[in-house]
Amino acid sequence: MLGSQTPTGISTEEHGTLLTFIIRRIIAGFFIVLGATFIAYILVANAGDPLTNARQLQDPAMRENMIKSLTTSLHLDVNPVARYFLWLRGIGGCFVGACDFGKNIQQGDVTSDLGTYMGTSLKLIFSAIALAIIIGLTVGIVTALKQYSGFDYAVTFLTFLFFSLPVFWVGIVLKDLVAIKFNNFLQAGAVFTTAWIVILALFFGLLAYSVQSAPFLRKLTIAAIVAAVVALLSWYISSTGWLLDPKLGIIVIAILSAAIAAGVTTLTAGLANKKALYSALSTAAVGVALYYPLLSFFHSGMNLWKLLLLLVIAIVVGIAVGYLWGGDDKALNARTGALTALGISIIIFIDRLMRAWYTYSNNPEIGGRPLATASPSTPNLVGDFWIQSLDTLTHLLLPTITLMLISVAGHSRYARASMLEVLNQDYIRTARSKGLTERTVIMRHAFRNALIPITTIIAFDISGLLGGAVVTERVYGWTAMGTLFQNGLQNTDPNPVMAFFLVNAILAVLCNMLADISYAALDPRIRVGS
Amino acid sequence: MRRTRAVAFTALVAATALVVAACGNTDQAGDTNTSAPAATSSGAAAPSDTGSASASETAASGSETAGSATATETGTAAPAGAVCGTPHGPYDKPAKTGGSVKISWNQPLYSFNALTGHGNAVANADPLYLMNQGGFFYYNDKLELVNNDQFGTCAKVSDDPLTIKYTINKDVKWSDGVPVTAADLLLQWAAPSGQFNTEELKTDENGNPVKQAGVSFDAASEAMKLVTEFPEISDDNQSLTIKYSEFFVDYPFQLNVGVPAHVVAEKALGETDPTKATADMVAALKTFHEGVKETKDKDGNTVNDASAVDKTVVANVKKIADFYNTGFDATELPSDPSIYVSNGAYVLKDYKKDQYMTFTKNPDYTWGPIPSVDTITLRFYPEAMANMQALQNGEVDVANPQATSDVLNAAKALEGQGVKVLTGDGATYEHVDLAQNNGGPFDPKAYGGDAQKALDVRLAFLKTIPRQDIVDRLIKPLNPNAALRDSFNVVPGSPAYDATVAANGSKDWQKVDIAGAKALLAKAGVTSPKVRLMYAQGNVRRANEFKLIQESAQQAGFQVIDGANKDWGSLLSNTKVYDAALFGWQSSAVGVSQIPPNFITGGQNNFYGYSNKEVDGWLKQMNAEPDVDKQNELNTKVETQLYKDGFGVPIFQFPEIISFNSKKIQNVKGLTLVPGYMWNYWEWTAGA
Repeated sequence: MLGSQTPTGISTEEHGTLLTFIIRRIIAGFFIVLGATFIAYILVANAGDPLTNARQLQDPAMRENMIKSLTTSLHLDVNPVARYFLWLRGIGGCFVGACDFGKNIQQGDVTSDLGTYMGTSLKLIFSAIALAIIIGLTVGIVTALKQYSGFDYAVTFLTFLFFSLPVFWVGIVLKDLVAIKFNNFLQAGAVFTTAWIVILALFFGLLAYSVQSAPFLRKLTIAAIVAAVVALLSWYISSTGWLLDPKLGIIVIAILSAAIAAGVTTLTAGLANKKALYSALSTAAVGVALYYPLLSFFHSGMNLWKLLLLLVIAIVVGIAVGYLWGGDDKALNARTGALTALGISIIIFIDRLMRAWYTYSNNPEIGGRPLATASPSTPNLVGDFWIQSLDTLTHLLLPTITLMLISVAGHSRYARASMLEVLNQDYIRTARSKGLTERTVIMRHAFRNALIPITTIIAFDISGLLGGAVVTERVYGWTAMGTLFQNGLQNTDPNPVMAFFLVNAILAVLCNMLADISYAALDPRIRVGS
Repeated sequence: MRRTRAVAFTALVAATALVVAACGNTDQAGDTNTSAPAATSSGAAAPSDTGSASASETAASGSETAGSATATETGTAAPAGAVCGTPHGPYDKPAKTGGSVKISWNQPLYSFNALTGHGNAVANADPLYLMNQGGFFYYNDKLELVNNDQFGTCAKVSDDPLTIKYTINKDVKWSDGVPVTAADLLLQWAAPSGQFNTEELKTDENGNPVKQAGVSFDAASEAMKLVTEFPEISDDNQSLTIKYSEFFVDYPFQLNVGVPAHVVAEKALGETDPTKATADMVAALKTFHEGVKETKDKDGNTVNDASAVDKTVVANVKKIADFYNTGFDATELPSDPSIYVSNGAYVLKDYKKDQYMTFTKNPDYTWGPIPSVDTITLRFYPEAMANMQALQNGEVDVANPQATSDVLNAAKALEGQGVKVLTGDGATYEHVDLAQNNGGPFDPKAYGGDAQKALDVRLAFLKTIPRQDIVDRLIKPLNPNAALRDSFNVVPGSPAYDATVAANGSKDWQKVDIAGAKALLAKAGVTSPKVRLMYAQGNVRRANEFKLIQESAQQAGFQVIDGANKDWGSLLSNTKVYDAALFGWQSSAVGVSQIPPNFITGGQNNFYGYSNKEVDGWLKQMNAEPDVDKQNELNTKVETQLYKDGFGVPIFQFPEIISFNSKKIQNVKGLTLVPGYMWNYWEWTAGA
């Protein structure tokens, strides 16, 4: 026993099986991809004539010339089966660092296109995936905890609604409402009408009412307070033209930081754990104290790397603060501190972006209409890091929402179902009966176990999104993997279609494998070797 | 749980309601939208298939080949000797200058050389037009060829042999400071002339392109093939004289400046001095051309044999060809600025892959129309509705996506915010052709060689085609002014159109004539002939046209069989699979010389076995006729006979919708040829 066990509790023997498992899966995956590409290649080769356009040139000399050059570069004079192996040889080059995905019918290099488009695709879907996971899980778990409440029904209604809406339609509507109408609203002075203030207040009031599980009168009081606060806030936002030149300021940041500290502590340790609470609060205090120095630091010469470095420093500070408070569970304090630091960093970052908003939206290239409907960036925009970041964000906003809405719908349903199942298990009852706090039961016993099945779903979703953003890309004028595929199909252009197919096949196989491995790692009942 | 299900159900109903509500608006468009890609692939040519407005989706061309037969009319009106359009004279300075505009197109540029086989697309020709305008000539909105004599002039030196002298003005230079010279023109002759191609592009047994010693320019031009003598360059390097070995009717718009010769020479020959590199290139081409001989290969094909030419010269010419073919291909701003030097009003400042190109005024430019706008940004929107929403949101000022009723409705809805909508004709025209060589209902063979019977059946079928109905139902919603196209070869709106239409017998074909068709069928003694009508599968507009034709023809007794086929393009030459074909030609982009292949016996575009001695004679005459009025006379004769012979019928011109924000940009006008609405960019003004 001694020495044969690693600290994580997985025996070296199991490590061995995991390795064998991975190798076996990789080999199997390789042949799956090989077979799939062969079938796809033959299908694509028979799907249409890449020379269709060339054949329709009315000028005979040009027509012949174009047919000739396309036939040569796409090997159209070779039998499709043999052509597949020609193609495969180009792909095989990837193993020696010389990929060749062939040429498209414009004689362009598919390999370089593929590189760029994969980058753009990642940029497009990264935040959508991250947000979908966070929001989906949160919503799913809250609805599970508040099963059959008004909130649960409302969310269920909305998730089914989003799930069944076609992406292209969501895109067009979002562009109209969130971009065009909102820009009009901004240009008209960003003033809410009374009706709007009432609607907003009622909405949030209702929301607050439905999430609670308390006696009627108490629910009503809280809902009324929320509605009043929202009404006041929106009146303030409207009358000061805050949306035209937004900023948070140190007071709001201090309030929000305290709220984040309390919230994080509630989730990780419970407010009763004073050491953890103090760790979070002192981290928050450090963040607020650094607000003005940071603003001057942000002023010039910012770039993404410096920003990421700052984030790392912030988290390290959070961890350090947690350790310094000491106590029984230093690691818990450190985690609390780190999460608080992350939250506060994000708020300060958002505040700084807000401070660039006015300059950004009044840039002549933007012309007071900051939210864009299409493309990944504004042409000819000159500006510092903050202006460029805002530009990226205003262009990412709509596609991210579009992609997210549908994923969130799925994730939240799975999270809800999984959480409900776990909550009905015997060990949860045991945990409750032995007197653990509700927080401990949910966060430590239920939540972690509920995550297991969701991991699989998320892994699939990532591969699905990478390949499946075709419609979203199209609607928002982003040129990425989906466009590569769609244009390839439209022009009966085999090589781009195959490049898309290959990348997706590999992703599907990889994500499948990762899902299985993570499943096994999360759930000790599952053995990868068997 | 029941409540959950009820909620889910309500959600589903709500979603459906939303979608249905949304589709209510766009009902018609649903059709036309789907037809978008197909309409394009059917539109005769353009390799830019990503959507593309039909209008400028012209088959061909850099500016050279774009042009209608009739547009050459100005040739005769022009002063003696001036042959590439009417000389314009000096251009006025714009009243106001400055500002910026944002225009849009559906596909990004992929090559700065629009004259190669693969680079020949509107997506390339349009941005290049901003950079190089037309060089010697361009078309105005009356489809007249205009000679920019501030750039250079063209003179006819002799009629027999046809000899044209092109002279570039002294101060004209590329944006890197190198003068534009005769060498630039020489390259545009050499590349498509075919006289430097010693080998066809070859592949090994695996199909890989073989590295070959031979030269192969990826370009072709019927006209330049006829210039077999090495053109003469004047001593001052400003003039080039080309001599045609036989008359070529469309000579006015065959040669123009394209890619910068000095860049090709520097890159290909590895030199740095532009003057020396260019001179070396000209010398290499000349030596090569002198030494090369035409021989027959073992298959009997004519090939060029360069074995007598010095090996280093051959190697150099090969390098020139290779660079010419692919050196200008780029999908973002090339790291080497020489790839995108310009000789026109604007220079390229930025090109972000798949997003936009930015053009700023060329500070040295004086030789041509002087633009008013300082900066032009060309943004790319592959999706038509995305383009319209971008217009609504002020992200672009001009939108010209593929015409659908969605697009038109969207544009009309924006009129309140200052958007103006131009609807008009595009460059492609729809028509039906009948196969006469497949043993089918239109082939005399089916009636034991009785040509009269076959003719009667053809005419009967054509009489049933509901042309006006098709225009009213499918085209008018997009272009309220849409009319029938009543000429096979002349573009509506061009100077000769009205006269041609009045005389070509098309007035007998205005209305559906079921009774007449029945009578003809009865006369021929044919009952319920089966007609396989082939058209592009997936093209909703064509599917609708098919239904209209089918219904109408049925009344006269024809059984029209749905021949939708995704490979219709390549099957056109195989009449075994169809009896009638419904598709589009972009004839507007070609001149008189492009007419004969459609109708002459054995012509390359005459897939149908049509043969008429008289028509052959007229077409040959037309090809040798320099006088435009006489060309038109001959063409009218040809068209009259085509109608009589039941060759087919033209139906309509593809519609085009241009919408622009008049608060941001003024003076936008359409043009049925490449470069579409960009043709008069110098008249645009920015701002209110």
